[in-house]
Amino acid sequence: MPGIRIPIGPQHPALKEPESFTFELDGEQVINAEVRMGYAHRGIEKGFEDRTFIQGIYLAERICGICSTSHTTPFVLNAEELLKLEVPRRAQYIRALTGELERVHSHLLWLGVAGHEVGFDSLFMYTWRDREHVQDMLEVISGNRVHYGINTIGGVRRDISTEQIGRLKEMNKLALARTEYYIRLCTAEPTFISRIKDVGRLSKQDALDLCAVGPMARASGVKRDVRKDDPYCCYDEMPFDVITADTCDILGRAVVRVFELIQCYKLIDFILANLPEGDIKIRAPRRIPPGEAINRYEAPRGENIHFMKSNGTDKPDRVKVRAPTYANIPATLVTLKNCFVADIPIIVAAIDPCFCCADRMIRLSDRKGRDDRWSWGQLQHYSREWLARNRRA
Amino acid sequence: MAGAEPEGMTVEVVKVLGYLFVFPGVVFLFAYATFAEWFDRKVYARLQNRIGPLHTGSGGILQPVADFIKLMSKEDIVPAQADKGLFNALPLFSLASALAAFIMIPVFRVSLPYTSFPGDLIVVVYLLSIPTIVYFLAGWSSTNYYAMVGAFRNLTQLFGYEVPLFLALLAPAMLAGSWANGTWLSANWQISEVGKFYMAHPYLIPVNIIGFVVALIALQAKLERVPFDAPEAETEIVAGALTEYSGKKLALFRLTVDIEMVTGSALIAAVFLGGFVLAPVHLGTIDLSSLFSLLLFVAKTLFVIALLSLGKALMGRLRIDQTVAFSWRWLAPAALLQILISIVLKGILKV
Amino acid sequence: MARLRPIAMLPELLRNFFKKPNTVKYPFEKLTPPKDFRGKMVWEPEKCTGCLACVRDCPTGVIDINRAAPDVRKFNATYRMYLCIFCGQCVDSCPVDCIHWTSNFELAGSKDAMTIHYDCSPEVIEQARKLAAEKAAAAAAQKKSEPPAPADKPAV
Repeated sequence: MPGIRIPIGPQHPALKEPESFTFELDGEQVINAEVRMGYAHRGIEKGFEDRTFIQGIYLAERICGICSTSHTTPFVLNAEELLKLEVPRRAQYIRALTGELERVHSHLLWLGVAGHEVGFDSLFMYTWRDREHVQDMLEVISGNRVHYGINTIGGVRRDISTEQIGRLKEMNKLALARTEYYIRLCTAEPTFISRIKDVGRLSKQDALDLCAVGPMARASGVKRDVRKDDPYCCYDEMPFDVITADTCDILGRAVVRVFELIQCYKLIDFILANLPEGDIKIRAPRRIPPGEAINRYEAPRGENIHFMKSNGTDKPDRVKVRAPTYANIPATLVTLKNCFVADIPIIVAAIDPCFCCADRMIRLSDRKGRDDRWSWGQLQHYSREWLARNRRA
Repeated sequence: MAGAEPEGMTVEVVKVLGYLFVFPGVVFLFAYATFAEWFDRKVYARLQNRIGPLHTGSGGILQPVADFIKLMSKEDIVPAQADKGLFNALPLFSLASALAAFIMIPVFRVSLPYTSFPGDLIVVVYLLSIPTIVYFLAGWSSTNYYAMVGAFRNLTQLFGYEVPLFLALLAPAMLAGSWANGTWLSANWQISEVGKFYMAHPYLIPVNIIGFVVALIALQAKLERVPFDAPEAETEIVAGALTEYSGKKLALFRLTVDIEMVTGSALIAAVFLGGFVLAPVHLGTIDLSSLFSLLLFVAKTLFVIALLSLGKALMGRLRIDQTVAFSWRWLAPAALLQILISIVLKGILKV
Repeated sequence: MARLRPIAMLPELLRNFFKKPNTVKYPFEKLTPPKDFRGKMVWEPEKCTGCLACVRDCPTGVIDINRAAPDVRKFNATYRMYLCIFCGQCVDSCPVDCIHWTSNFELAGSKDAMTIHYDCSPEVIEQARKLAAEKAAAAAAQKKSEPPAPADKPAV
């Protein structure tokens, strides 16, 4: 069947979130892949402009469920930078702790989803069972399993007691033991390895040219991690390694994520052992003086960039979010070339897609700088015309 | 007497109809297939530290029946471009062949002369391969891309596992065949005879261990379960050949898969583990051998199904090219090895 | 890369086969949420001073604060739980600590059932009135006995 075009998405059992991929196939081989995004667009950047900074924290949290701290932290870092606030060290350590716990739960989730995409449902059930311990700990320290709401402008909202530190240490030990089991299992199970080895290749040059971020880039040998390149939240005081692999395939990405888990446990141990004394927040004024700030954060999926522009009122003028999945999409299209149909779900899953993070607004303008923005009335008019023209079809 | 003949024939007809439709026919098979599906789901869940079906009936035992009833009550949609006659008739074909295959396996001590005859082993394997071809036609007549890919993968997989399955099932039958005219070539391909042979010589059962493993793996491929469920890969091609089926037709297809599972396990248990037909067992004056043979049937098939569930939980899914490569590289030579062992032993033992 | 072992997961599967399943049979068995779990919010309207900080900071606008009586500074709160995202910002913003978390998370109901009114109790309003009347009487008495001087009595 030469030259057949099939859609995977927007609704498909392989995709956890809606995105439209169109593949051009020759039998079981993919010749070309196209993507069309925007199915999870919710107008969040517009929503920021209508809400105060405090309310905006909770909106930022809800950009994504799995990487919620990855959005609130750069948001409050931006606000604190514009206010020139010195956040107490204890608050920064607690922020780092929550970020690392989130990385743990996200990578365990990814391992389960990767197992499910290749049909290895037992791995899925076991990794998600062990992830429950991490979720329980997040619930203990923040009051909720997802959407922790631990950040506020000026620090964090909750403190960690000694009893909670003890429980966190226990959970860390348990999760470390289980992760080591998964490393042994996944490198020895032939059905799993045969599905992910030499599949979805992305050469180092392609990763650099197409701006891949996160484990996708690190698996192709590109040593980039915002925690080391541009430290925030006292990461420059914490000892950890940046994990890279040089196999450039999905096995490399899995290895990078799993060994990052081990680094996360090391970081959590360090933070719990060296939590500084002090306040957990300082008072922040409600109005932020005019200015612009930009901050990067190492989300579990890669580099997350937030830009904030304030104008002296208590509401931001513009907030822009560049999620890591958005940066990884061009690289994904390259890895999808010349693969089998059977490999499509696992290749898409290997970037750890979080399309709800990625669907933000783009404004296109032509060379003369004009941009084609439509008002609500214009949009309505166009839709009525289109329907009238195409009603017969 | 002129009157006795028609009466005798009526009793005979009632007996046949009862055998075919009640026990061990359609009604018993429906009940047992749903029970086997429940058992499979429970074992699979326990292996993954979960519970499985729990609330429908005690311990969830009525869950597959509830699923069947629910599917029967759903809307039945036929795609506009599909070949309607073929699309509608196919579920009945596959169900009919699976049911017919089960009748040939001697479960009950009483068997009808036309359900157990020399060569019925071949007939059962042949009838069991009809549903696979029906799935191909189902995918083809659906005119949906995902269904077509599933249909092609079904046939490709058939080329992979069918030969090892056949060879593996033939090996114990060859060992059990009787000598006639001094040659071993007159193996008796009758399942009940094979079962009787192994019940009489139980020390020969472990000899067929390679064939047993090959037959189990090939059965897992026939039933399209992990690791061989590329034709039905949920995350790749939605539901494979059955993507466009819904409502009553899907209910019948799912029932066919369950019945195939029971038939396949019963076949393997009958040929490799000694069958179900016992010598007469008496408790006082009551003839309990029928009851015992039924219990033996349940026990042996559940053992085989438990092994299949373990296989499902143990591994990930192989790509279709990897499945075919695996079958021809490992399964077919192993099955040939088993046949060689049977021939050599036959020559040595002269049983 | 380790050596490939077929059926690598077998020991783990068999071990878990004999363990108790990890599933909690909710709603027949329940897990207790930890302390400070962000469930339903409850108000103590007697303490409320009407500063409206919670209304300002709520991301979804679920809180309404209304006067309980026209003559005293006592307030009722209406909490529209069907819009609440349980972030707990109101708990942090309140300066007099009159909002608390509970661990109640089984909250589904109709819109009416999920609109909760926390009304200031009438006795407290009466008490406040009496207090205000006493203060006003004391102020009037003092005013009579003293030379007229601007006395900053907060209007009650």
